[in-house]
Amino acid sequence: MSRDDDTPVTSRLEEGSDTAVTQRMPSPAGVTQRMAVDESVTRRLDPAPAVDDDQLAQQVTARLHDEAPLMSALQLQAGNQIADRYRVQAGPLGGISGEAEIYRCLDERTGSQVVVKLYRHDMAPKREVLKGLLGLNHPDIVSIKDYGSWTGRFYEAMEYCEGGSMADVMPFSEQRLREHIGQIINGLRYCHRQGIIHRDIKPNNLFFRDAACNESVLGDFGISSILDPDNEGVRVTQTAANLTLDYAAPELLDGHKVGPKTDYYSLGVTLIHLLLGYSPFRNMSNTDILVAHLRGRIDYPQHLSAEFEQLLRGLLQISPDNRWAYRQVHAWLRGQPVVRDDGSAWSEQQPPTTSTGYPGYPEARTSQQLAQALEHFDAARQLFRGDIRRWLFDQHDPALAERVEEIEENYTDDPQTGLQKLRFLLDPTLPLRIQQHEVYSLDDLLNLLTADDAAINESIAQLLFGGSLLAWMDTLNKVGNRQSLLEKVSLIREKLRYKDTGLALFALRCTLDPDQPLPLIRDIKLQHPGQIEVVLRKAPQAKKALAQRVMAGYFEQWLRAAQFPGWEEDVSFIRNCRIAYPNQEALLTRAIRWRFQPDQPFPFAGKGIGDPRKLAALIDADERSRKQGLKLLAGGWIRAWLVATGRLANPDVLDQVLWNPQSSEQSKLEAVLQLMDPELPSPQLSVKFTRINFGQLDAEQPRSKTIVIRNAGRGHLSGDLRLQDYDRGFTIDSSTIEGNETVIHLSASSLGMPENSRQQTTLSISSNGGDHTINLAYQVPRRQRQRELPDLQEIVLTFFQHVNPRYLITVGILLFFIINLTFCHDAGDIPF
Amino acid sequence: MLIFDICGATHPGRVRKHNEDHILIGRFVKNSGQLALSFSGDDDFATAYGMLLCVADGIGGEAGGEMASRLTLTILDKAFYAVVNPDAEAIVPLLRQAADHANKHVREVAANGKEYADMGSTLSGICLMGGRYWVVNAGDSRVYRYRNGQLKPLSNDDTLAARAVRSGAMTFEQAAHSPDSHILTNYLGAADFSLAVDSGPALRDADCLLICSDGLYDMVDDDTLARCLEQFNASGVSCADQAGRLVALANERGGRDNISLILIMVCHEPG
Repeated sequence: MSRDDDTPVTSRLEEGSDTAVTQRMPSPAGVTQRMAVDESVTRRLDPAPAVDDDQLAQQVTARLHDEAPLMSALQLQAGNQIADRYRVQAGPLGGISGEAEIYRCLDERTGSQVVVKLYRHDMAPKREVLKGLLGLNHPDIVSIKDYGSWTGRFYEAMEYCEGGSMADVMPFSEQRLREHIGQIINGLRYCHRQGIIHRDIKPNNLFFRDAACNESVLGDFGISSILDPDNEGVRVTQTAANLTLDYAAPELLDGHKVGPKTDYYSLGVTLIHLLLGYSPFRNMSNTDILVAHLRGRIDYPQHLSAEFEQLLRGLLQISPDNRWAYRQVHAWLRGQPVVRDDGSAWSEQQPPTTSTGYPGYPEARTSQQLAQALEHFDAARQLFRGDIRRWLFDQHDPALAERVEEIEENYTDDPQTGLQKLRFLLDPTLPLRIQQHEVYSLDDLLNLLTADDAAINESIAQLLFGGSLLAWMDTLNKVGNRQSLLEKVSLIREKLRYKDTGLALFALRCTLDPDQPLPLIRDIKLQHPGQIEVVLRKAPQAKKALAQRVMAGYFEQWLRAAQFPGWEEDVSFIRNCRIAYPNQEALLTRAIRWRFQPDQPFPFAGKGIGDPRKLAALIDADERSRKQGLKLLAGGWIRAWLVATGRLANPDVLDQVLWNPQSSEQSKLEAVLQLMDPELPSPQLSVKFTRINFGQLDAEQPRSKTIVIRNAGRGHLSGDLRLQDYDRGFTIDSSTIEGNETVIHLSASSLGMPENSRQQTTLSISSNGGDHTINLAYQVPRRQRQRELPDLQEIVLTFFQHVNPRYLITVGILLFFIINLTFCHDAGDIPF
Repeated sequence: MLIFDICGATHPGRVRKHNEDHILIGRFVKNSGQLALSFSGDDDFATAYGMLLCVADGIGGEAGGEMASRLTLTILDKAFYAVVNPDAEAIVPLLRQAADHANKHVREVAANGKEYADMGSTLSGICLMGGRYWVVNAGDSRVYRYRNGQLKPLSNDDTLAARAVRSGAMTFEQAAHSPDSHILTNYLGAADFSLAVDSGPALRDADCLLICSDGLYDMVDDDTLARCLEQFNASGVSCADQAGRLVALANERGGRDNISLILIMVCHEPG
């Protein structure tokens, strides 16, 4: 086998770097290679003739650093001559591809216009192809006039097509495109009969010979291959990375034999491109394009006629055996029935549903098989790396891949649960295993839950808290309102995870079957919360069980799962009761009975009271009844009745009163009575003073005054006192008012206050019986100043500190003489 | 508000004399040493222009590889930042156009110089903008996301082996030991170059993004990388120190190729 047969896919270039595949490790011949360690220099195994022009490279590098326009100096100009024959008239046409430059030239030997394709230094097309096409004049193929080498570069001269390429005038209408399809397939048929596979059919390689764009021709055989008649095809040993991936048939990509039908697949994509005016793969990565080809996921243009859609589907069949070629397209053009190559009726084949095995466990070829195999390889690692998602996307279902991605993103902190979720996602038919039981439906699960087996319950709780149950439920397609069910079970898992397992399972049971009753004792069950009174009347012994159900949270979960009307308010009420009055079973039970039978009266003084005003009046009747009221209020009974039965329009106001830590029980009761009966007369604040002036106030003589605050009305007076300023020398011995007579001692002291100043402030009294203000004042007198005699010792010390000892001696001697003279004179003595 | 601590490091390794890799951080293109910076998600530059963080691994010999990776990042940088205030919707085409522009230049130089004839470059990275980011890739450099001990590649290798895995022709095991694992099917400099641009999955507190050349992941496998990041994060090692330690680790294990990486640590703004 010739070398070309070994590596035909890279046959655009005869030698050397004939592929865009670049290898960093040792590889088969024919690819550019970069040796990993010891040879970091690019090595060409089969070097092509190259320009020995180091200066050129340096020039490019220098220009690059200067950020100057790069290529203009390297291109041929109009008037230049190629191979002493072709005079450049225009070009390079269509820019520089990096592989070749294309110029419109005048063939000076024939006087005709030609196109010259000048390959880069190390590239050349297959000579066998050019030989086959040289001198050929086919109406549907661009004719090759000449080829050869010039200045070390390969050139190819071909017919000049005046109308340009089809890519220049797209998009096409179906009708206009249809007019050209016949010519294109004629050109293809001719090539194929010559043993040439074009391999690069695309809008840019379909030309119009005439300026009026009527004659379409096939051109550019740069990467075409010669068929190997022995093998009935061309064996692809490597993926051809430098072919245009957009138009690559699946067999070019997955290593299968390419043949004439490879070109028809490219034609199918080309037709879509021409209809749209852009590639159906625009903005897609190479990998995604690859997958789209292999899995048959090509988007067709919208508003496509059924007839054209049939053509495209025929051309884009993944299997070459079922793909349309000349015979089928020709029949389609003539409106005749399309038959297979073997003469049987053609029908579309859906993209393959069987896939290649999962690369991490090749025995698993379907998602179900992979679900069974998860424990045989490091599935968690591959899940979170995205490997499983990628395989599902490529080989199976993009929507399933998307759901796996959600696991990748959200379960990194809980890989085992993520894996369980994956298992059920991959195979929704997998049962949930609970002990020896296989659970396939919610009914199965419910049956196990109601069996009340300790071991089974333990397993279910583990599955619930571990997340597997949710993962399994998520795959149950036949469950109505699945999302809501999942949210409820998630909530049970989240809220009850570290609490009572029995409660969590009860909640689960009620969630799965909202008709579940609340069992109280033996045969006594509640079907509906409205039945409480009836049930308790028949079976008073169930009262304690009800209390226990309420205290343990079962009642609440039952309400939540069954979603009885107003259940959210009911649950909130029960929660508040439990928080406010913990461990008070009787209260909670009574509150629930009031809640679900609001016409139930409040028992007080041997009567059943239905009206809050009446209850307020009865409590307010005398000291004894008030004491009773205080007890009921502190125990939560009054609140429970008022809130549970909805007898207070705004329970929040009641709670503000009750939860005020500054208020006494008496004042709370007074406030509650006022709330129950807004017409109940308020207490009345009575204070004698409106102004207190202490007059002249010496610092050593503080004064005080007694203020008596009385309730001149009914009920319990309560409130507080506040001095407007605390730095004026006034103080009060209490700041609260409680009861019908409160005595406050007001003191005033001028100590520390500036002399001869007047100090004043106000004492504000606010209470449930009204507000009052007392103005306070005193005068600080001017202080009498006393002249203070200096201390004798201090004088002596100061004297000695400041007087020169010499002077002292002098003064001493003088004093001696004076005294001596005085006294001696009297005595008649002579001193010396 | 998220805070991004970023450090890029590139090193020639222990065998090669030249560093054919380059890194791009913001607008700095480097092929030696480290560069670190920190900014918040509402940073005015990153919000208005986007923050490009890329690694390019040159191929085609010492001169060509270095030239190609430098050219790739400088042209990409200039073309990308030539557009002021792009919409989030315009980012994908803008990134592709900028990369196409870089590819065109690489090919032009390669086509006309013997010394650079086979040059090309990988390109992997992210573009951060506001609260979103896009992952770009061509070639076999990689972008990883680290979260809770799990390392997830956000980019797909453009190699023959990766392609064979996706088409079902190879298993992971075979691909890991295949000489095709570094045969590139897409890179800047290729005729059919195409930049893959994907919106990245939402970032969370304590996530890390790692962009690196094969010089890192060939020496330090993914599991070890994940363990390193886990340990570093648990012990509060700074972003710059983590980047330095990863380079040191790759060198300890042979340093057979140039090592380049950019580490992006994500955290919620304190307070």
